[in-house]
Amino acid sequence: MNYGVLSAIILIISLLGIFISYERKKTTLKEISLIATLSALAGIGRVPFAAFPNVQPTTFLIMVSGYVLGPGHGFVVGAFATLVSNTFLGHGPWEPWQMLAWGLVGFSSGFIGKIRKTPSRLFLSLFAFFWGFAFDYIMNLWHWLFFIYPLNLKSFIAINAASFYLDIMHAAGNFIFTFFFGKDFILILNRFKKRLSYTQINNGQYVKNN
Amino acid sequence: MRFHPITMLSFFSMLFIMILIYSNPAYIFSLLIFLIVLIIIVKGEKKLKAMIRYGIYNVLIITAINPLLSREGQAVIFQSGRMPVIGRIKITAEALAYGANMGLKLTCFILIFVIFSMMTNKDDTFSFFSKTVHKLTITFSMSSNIIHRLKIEAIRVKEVMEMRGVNFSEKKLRKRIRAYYPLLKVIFISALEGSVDRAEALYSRGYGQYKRTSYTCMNMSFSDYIFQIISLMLLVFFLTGIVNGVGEYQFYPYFQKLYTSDFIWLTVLDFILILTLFYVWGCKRWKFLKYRI
Repeated sequence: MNYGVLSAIILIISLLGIFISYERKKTTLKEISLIATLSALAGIGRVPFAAFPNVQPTTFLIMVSGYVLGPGHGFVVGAFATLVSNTFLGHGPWEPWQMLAWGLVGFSSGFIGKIRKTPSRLFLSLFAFFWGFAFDYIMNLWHWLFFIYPLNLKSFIAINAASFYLDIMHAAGNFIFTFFFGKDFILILNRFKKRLSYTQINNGQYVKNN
Repeated sequence: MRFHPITMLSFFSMLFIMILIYSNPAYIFSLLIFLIVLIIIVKGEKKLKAMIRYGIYNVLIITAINPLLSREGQAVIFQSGRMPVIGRIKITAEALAYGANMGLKLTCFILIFVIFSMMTNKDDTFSFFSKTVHKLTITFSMSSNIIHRLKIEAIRVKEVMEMRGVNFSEKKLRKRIRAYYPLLKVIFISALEGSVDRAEALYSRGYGQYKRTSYTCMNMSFSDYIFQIISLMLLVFFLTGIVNGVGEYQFYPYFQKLYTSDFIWLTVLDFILILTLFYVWGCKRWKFLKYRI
């Protein structure tokens, strides 16, 4: 059984499903525009930091987007940020895995946003720190499934141990970005989210418009 | 060179699947050579050079990592004494060859992405897909468009802040971060403001209110149909090959023997690939094909 091929097939089918549901979902133009802008910001954030190994604000910006816009839009921002950044840094077979990993960053942040309305700066920073490692472990999983033989726990631990220094750089970068910019960026984005919709008083009845 | 997006998508998807499934180094090497020659034919030597350099780096890295993680194989090249935590390092020829083969596969995948972007027109691809998945295409095209605006905006804001006395080239990192912090905030707010403006501009032009109109129709040309036939030939070869176990190769526990049937199938694959190269070359050189694309 070729687990690399199997995982790629499952992943591509899942991503297609998510994109189809985004396509069918009733999304307003303002939401589409906001998703595109956040994806561009997150994606382009990788480029000036390309010289620093694994330090980039992409994960942080996707996290903020997911936290404010919700799990669904968070995933889409993560997936599109991957597409945008790889336009500059190069497309490759790792792209679906990056889309999944960054999509999950946005998705999980959306849930955090629903559970904790006013999280502390430290909580958010630790969450970002966790995703620094989790993102890299998902990417390591791709490398492990495709390029390593035999597929056992020993080789899996070894491949994750080999990338430890890069993982810690990513996690520390996320922590710093979230600690210093997190709260402010969430406040700004929340304000814009409110601007996307307004309530109109129509003959004594409230009508919500987007 | 402007082939229909569907033609290119079906052809390169076929190649992608073949590289994904095949493990025989002879087949992978054939496909790699094909991709390199194809890039040269469509005049992409510059990109090819950069990608080959990156590919060699990948092959070396994967070839080096795999034997360190895998102790399988019988042809032992090097064996160290017992070391703390990691134990004994055993490097085998099978592990090295497996790593190199995987590195070649990765290089092939990267080259497929490169050649696909060279043989399709981005605008054509966008307009083709916008008919079926318009939300996805508009999100992606807006994202790509915003990047250019962001760059201009960043330069403008930086200049304004410099005129107000902000020093972005402070020697101390803390002071430099303090200088850059408001810049990032301004760019973030301005990008979000721009997103609302863009949405309103699109809405005022009637986007998303009615069924989308289309002024151009992309049809398949004679050259596209020939390319589709080549893709079909590859598909038939792949499916019949899979049934007969073509393209499989076992590296562990020892190198599998190569049989005559493997080479017969490989010759058929190479014939299809050479035919494709000849056709693409012809599309660039022969007038009767060139003007039918």
